[in-house]
Amino acid sequence: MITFLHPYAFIWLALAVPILLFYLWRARRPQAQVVTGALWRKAIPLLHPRRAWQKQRWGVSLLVQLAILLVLVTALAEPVWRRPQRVVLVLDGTASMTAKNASGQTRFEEAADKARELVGNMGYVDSMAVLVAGDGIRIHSRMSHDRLQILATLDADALPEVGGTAPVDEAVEMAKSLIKAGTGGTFDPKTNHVILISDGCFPLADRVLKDETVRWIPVGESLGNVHLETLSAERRDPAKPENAEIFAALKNFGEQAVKGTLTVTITKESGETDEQTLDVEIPAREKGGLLTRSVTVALPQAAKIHAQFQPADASQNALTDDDSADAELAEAFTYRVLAVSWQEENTLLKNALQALPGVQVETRVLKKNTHLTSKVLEEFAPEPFTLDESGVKRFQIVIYDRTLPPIKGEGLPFVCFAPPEDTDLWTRSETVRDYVIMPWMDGLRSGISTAGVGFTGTHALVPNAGAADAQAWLFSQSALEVNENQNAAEEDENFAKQAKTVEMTELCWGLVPKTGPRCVLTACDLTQSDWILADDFPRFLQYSFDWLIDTPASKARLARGLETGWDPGESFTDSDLQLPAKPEKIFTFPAEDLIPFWSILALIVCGALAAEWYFYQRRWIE
Amino acid sequence: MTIFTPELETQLKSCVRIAQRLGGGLLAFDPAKLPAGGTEITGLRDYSTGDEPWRIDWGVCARHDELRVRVYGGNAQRNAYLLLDTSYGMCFRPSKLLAAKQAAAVLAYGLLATGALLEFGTFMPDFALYPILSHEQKTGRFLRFLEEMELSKAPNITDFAFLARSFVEQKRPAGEVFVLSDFFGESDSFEKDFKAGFELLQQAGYDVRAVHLEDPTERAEGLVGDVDIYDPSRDYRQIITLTEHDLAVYQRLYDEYLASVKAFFEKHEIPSTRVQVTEDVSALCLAALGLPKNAAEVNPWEEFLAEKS
Repeated sequence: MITFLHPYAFIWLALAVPILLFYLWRARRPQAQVVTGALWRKAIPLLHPRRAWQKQRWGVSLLVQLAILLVLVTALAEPVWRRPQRVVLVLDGTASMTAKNASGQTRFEEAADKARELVGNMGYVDSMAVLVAGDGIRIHSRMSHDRLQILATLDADALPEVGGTAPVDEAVEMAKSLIKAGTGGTFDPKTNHVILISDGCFPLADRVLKDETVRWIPVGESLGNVHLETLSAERRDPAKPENAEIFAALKNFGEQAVKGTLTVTITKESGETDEQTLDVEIPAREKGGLLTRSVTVALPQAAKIHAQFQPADASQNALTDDDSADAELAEAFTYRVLAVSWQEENTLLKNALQALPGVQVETRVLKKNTHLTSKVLEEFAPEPFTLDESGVKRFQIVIYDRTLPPIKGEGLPFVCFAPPEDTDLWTRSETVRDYVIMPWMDGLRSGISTAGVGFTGTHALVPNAGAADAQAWLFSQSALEVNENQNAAEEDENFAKQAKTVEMTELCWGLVPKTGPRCVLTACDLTQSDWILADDFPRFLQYSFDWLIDTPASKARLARGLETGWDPGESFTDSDLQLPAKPEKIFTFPAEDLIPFWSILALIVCGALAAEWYFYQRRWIE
Repeated sequence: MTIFTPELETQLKSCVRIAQRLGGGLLAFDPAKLPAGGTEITGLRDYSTGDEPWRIDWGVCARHDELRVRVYGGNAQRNAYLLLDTSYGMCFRPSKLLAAKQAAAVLAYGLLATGALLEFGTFMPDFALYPILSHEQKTGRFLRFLEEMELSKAPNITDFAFLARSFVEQKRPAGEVFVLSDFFGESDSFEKDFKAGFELLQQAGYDVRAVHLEDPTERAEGLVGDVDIYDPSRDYRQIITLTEHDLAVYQRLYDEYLASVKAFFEKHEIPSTRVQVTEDVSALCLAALGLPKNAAEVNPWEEFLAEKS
């Protein structure tokens, strides 16, 4: 089907108007006055055979010139027999592309060759842009019709260094966006193509390669590789917090088992190093290909862990970038918690605390006064933390359940549930309401689910800005006043339909006072609420304790606990060098005429102009 | 457009002088033979054998005692008529009319310089003869007359037979009739339009001489394309697209017409000359007198010297 690259060029057809005007103007013939009329009268009959035709000359000439204009404008519009292809080429430059084929050529070099071959097949109407996904995703060559320019960017010197963990799937999405940017937001699979030249070894490859809008040109050969998949250092035994478990997982993507050594180096804070070497044999891919090893060391201090895999046969391990890993071991610490309740012991709270690893619980009940005395507090813990016999730090924390800390004194970090009075740090609201945490207002940042938890008979709490830096870090903007309409059907599951009003009330605060230790302030009365029965309540306590002591180790644990998804800084090494099944059809540009059609039209115009000039304007018609 | 240019004044004299040096050109004439060479006694000379006895002046012989004879001399009167074609075809293009006037001027001066009695006439639309001029000093008057001469602007066609008839009916003395015209008649045949007139003049005893004024623009060089050909004299109009081939057909006919004019004059022994109106004054004057362009450089004794050597 014929299409036009520049359809707006047809506006030049307006030139037909001045051509018509010129012809009308030119129709006034010049007069030649002669005295030899007799000779002319004798001569002109000899010319008779052409005279009838000559009468049509002006009209024919006009038609010819209009036809020339039409052809010329058509040439300007650049007609093409096939629709131009708009292509964005995505070159996979991630780490797996550094793997070498049997020929010694890396996969990326092979990809560059195929890219150059593809560009060489481009038609003059086609356009192409090149994206490279290596360390990051970047536009290597902008959308262009110029084959030579694109080829120049694909020279070995011009290409970026290979390696990195940029998400290829995002590069593909970016390529689609690039195409849509030039087509007004449409993506026609017949003319628009995202071409991925890759080995197919990248995260989410299945999804990308199955995308019908992505044309995959595979490169590389299947190779064996071992990947040090996981290295972690955790203190997993609550009974022995000084013990650290170093866990390493090795993944073999090859067809045969791989033997080698795994060297774990532990660098303590003091700079002292300790090294352990393990002989490992990672089973073949068919047998799962996974080998895990864990090493337990008694080390209460923080340390840096480095693991390095060394294969016995280097040919079985195509990539060396993914053979090592690092991990951080946090300092060991435990808690000693004093739970101060009002009137009677809060058994549920005690149970929740005992469920936490590394927490030693003591309780106390206040009968007369809601304030704990300073004396009792000093007896409980004169210092913020102590060291046990194994060198593990034990931090002291107080939980005030409907009670209050001592009025005077520095005190210890504490968690306060449903404080009975206002203090310098906070003020209670006068209204008492029944709050329900709505599902969509869950405190997700902590990874703690509070959906549907009810806070019954609760005063909202307002921190005093002058006394503390308040951080509404949990349940913020998440309160809802439930319907007071008693006629509402119980089976009505939609809280929103029953809602009378919605309040954005802060129910949980982390306070950092100007003077004194940190505290966590919660409006919830645990004796009235069902929150204490929720599975995530102990995790809330753990979260609060870690935030209260504010040490690097606790921060690290908080950071791990707060992880809710993929960390942008996290890298996924493409270690599986086994290629997916190749596509049935490899993309290439459609064939086209060697000579652009517009140039043929231009030749026709030149010929027609010459003929018109020769036959009409010069008037040499025989 | 004035014809009184200093250049013309110079050319009139020099061209006529050149013509006289080269035998007269178109102005050359054979004087009529007078009895005894004339009637006026111009002198005496000694008697020689063969002298007629009646020419002996006996009175002188008696006084001088020797035979003396009278010598007679005298010139025959030369009548010349200069007839200028003032038809529309000659007048509508200023350059052609100017050239015709210049040719007439040089002929008039040449004739008056030889002592001829000159009568100037114009024909078309009517024939008219103007007063006789008899001396070369009258040339200025003639030129002024040429300049002030009123010409008809109405389209008309040269009718030479009518001219000849009108002139003959005037019964003027015999003499030379100089006809200045482009010789385009009503038809496309020169003989058809002009033969009768020339024969009538010859039969009436006039020595006819023709000055053919040719305007090269009438050959229509480069006239190609869409043109509206218009001849008001013949009320002929043709809108046509001319190619060079078409033009060649016309030019062939035009050249044949000129050739037929020349052939006619040669056949009827009519002295003639062709003057191209686009020539400069010098060449035009020489051509009007029937002289070549290089006449000024020609040595009249060249042939004599060649024979002698």
